[in-house]
Amino acid sequence: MNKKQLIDGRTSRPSFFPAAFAELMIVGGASLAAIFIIIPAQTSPSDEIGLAPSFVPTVCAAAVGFLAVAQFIGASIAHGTDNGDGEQRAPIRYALMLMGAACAAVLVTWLIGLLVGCTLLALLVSLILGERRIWMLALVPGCLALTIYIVQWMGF
Amino acid sequence: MDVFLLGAQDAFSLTAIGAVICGIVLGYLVGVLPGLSRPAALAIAVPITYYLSPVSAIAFLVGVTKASTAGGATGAIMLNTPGEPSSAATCFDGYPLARAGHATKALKVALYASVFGDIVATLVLIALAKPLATFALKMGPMEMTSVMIFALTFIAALSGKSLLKGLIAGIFGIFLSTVGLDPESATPRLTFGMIELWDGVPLVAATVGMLAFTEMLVQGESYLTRLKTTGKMPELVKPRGSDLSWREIARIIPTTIRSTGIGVAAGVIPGLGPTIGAFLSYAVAKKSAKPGDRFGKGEIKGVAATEAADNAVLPASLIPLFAIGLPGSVSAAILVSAFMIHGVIPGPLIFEQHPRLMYGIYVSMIIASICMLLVGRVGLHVFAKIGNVPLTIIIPVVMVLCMMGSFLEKHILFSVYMMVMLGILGYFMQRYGYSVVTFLIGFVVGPIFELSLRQSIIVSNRQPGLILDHPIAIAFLAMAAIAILVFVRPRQGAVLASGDDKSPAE
Repeated sequence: MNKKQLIDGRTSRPSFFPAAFAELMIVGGASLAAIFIIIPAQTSPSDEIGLAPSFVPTVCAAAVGFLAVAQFIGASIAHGTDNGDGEQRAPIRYALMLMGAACAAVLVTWLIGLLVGCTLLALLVSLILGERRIWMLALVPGCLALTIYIVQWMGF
Repeated sequence: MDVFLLGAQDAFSLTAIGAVICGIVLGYLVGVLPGLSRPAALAIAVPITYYLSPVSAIAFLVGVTKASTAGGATGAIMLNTPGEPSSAATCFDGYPLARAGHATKALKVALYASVFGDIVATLVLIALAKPLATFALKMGPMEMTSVMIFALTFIAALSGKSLLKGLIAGIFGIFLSTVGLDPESATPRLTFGMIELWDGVPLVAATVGMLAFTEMLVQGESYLTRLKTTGKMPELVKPRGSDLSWREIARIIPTTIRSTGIGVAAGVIPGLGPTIGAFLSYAVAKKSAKPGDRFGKGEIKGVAATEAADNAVLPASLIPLFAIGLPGSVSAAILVSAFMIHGVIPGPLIFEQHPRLMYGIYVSMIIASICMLLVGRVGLHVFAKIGNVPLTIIIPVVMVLCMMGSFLEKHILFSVYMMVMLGILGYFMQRYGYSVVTFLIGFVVGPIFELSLRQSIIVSNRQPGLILDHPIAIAFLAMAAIAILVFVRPRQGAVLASGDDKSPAE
């Protein structure tokens, strides 16, 4: 959103609705999927005197769906005033890079082991954060690898 | 008396005292280092306690929590960068004092006020928790369900910018806590055929992922954004200057006592937390300023007010936890997970089932307060220098500790995968205004809530009208409804206190 749009309140309206609607679709959709697909498939009916295993999850999912609709309506009426922080958000690419590093580490952990996975995570995160000094890139992951090795060797 | 002595004996054991001291040192480091918050540090500290006795484990975590609160002031005074969100108010007067060459004085005021607030709040906890637990035992499932609905509503209202988003997060936490075996029929529920989920979503993976891992993603993102825009880090002020005189100590005593009271009140009410307590206390101190007081320009009363209140919150927030099993803050919620790891369920029955443990914890808390004073005083200048450790070291180290910590819970890689998944989910929740604090409290109280709700429905024979026979339950539900009406409109007050995206309950 550019400066002009920020100054002129009316121009923020078109960008608010798609975002709020997308949020409603994600949260509300997840709620409906939970009620009609996931919970029936993942719970079994019970013959016990008490409540069915699906009772509390269904109530929770329904409540989440209802609140998501209420949030959308409320935010629309308030013209997004309680969602105004959205414009101030940091670029998501940095967090995505860190998440990518974590996913790569999880993959390596699954394939090779925790020691290598954790060391790789430390190295990748240091690189993403802009660390380029070779000795630091060796020191931090190296110390962590040594710590993990000792922890595993001690049988914790 | 015998049980008390046995508890004290446990607390005075070498392991327990060692755990307290280690916790205090770790807590100070956490508090001093910008970027590593108390809940995140507590979450990654929980796995360390697997191999400790229950008293030592809780003492260690209490040490971490208490000292991180006190240590948070160091960054606020020396760097104008609070180590903890709750120490943000300390910047108002602490940093000007440091800039004026009174850094040592400000650090000492912060330390003494912290220790005072902490000890008094611990004594209040000891005095109130058991009588309240005795009262809570008279409450039935309907009352307990209502109390939990009220507390979750209140926490949701205060822990973010939108009550409805807070409630969504809290209810989602309860939803996720239902994964595992059904408590009545013992049939798998929402496990997707994975045996690893039969015991539910791993508690440590959830807390570590949602708090520590998410926090590191947020910190990394903010670090990189700041680096691209300014490329500058705040300048460290050298700790030097005049010492604290007796006259100045006498000046801050009334403020410290009043602020401790405010902190205790903020701790007892679920959801308020240390940030609101500290800001409220600062506001009250400033309002009752006398001629000559220099609030905002370097006033020791301002530092004392925020630090006393900040440190009084944690022990007070344990009152609802011990009395009715309800964690009033995220730190208390993490302590619940530590209790559960050691086979203890916090709640009114804890005083009957584990009296020795409770007395041990009480004595450990007092020991932790004294250790906090000693360690804080000895390491005053050392801790001030540690605040310079760059985030390029902190973030990779903490992320690796998150992986290790979640693995150590059950020694299965599944916990690591869950932790990373929940960490990523927590990041997106935080980014779009869904409080991870409310989520976590919902997740922790979920099993107790479900049990109470089931019991209520069975006891009432599925007739909602029978709630009219339970006035306490009606009162709490009415308060929850009022809270919704008051907080449902867009607010600025709740975020005003925190001053950043951190929720007050943190």
